[in-house]
Amino acid sequence: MDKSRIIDCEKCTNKEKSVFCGLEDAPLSSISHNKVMNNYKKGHTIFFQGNPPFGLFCINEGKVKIAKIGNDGKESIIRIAGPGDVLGHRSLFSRENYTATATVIEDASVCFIDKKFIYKVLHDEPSLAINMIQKLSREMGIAEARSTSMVQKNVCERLAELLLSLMKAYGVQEEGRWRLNIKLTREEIASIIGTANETVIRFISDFKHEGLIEQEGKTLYILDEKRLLQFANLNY
Amino acid sequence: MKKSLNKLQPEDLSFFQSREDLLTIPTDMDFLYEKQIPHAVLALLQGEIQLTKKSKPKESIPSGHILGIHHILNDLPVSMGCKILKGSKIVLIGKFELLEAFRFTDSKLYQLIKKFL
Repeated sequence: MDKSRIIDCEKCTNKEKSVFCGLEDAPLSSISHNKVMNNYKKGHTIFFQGNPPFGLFCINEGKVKIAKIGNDGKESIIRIAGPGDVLGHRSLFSRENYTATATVIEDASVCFIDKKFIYKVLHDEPSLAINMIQKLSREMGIAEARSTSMVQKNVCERLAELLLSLMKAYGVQEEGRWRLNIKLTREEIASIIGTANETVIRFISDFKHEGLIEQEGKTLYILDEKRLLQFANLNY
Repeated sequence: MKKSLNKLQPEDLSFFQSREDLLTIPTDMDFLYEKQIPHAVLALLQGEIQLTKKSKPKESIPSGHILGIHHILNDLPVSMGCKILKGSKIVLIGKFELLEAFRFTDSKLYQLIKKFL
């Protein structure tokens, strides 16, 4: 990575939506000094399931999928991480090997903070520790909701729910519709909601037919959020 | 990465082997891709590292070497990727610990690193 492209943490545009929000310039400057920032291309792996963690990753740009590989070699996507998200924190703090693999799905720039330093900062900056606890708690809630969804909802509802969550995380409003600023393959969508590719293809086609979504090239647009909420059987 | 590749002496190996943060890598791991800055200095105590170019293995590094000191201290990108093969035993020295070593020049780590500068 070109030195001139390394972004100081104090100037990072994702600061406010990351666990580092609320930190003063001095600790952010210290983090800047001790971090390593790198570019990853689509398909690159940031960490591998089963390997030991040695630090924390923070996404500056791009998107990363976190997926578990089963014994049968099948991939199950747990979540998609984007700018401002941290990766590897759960394994780092639980002192377990990584339980999933992080793979770049859109070219990314990612900062790395090693274990010794992150523990030092957590000790010195209680607000960071509190932010981490909040983040882990929120993630636990999302995991519980997802687990319940898998059991209680049908595929159509799960797909609608996923599209709404993608809209919330990556939606850009334009001309009365929401452009999903993330490109997932049908396989990846199927993996996230726990179904087969063919089922996803069928339901996406149904949603288009119903006027809920449309597609231009590889980009999906949400046209009718209200009706999609009904399909998802959600109370927002 | 070659410029930053150094052979460890027996006493250096003992220093790393006694560390609590010795890691065993259970699956092949892309530690670094080409043109990336190393996350950490890598001391290979057992096993093997492959240096790669465009994802193809070009050179194999046996155990007893330390890599990345020059690159991490100067925020320099490597010219070859680095894959750690499964079963390797490694120690990773992060940037923070490396910079701290320069503050405490009587430390064992500083004495070790100094030899390779």
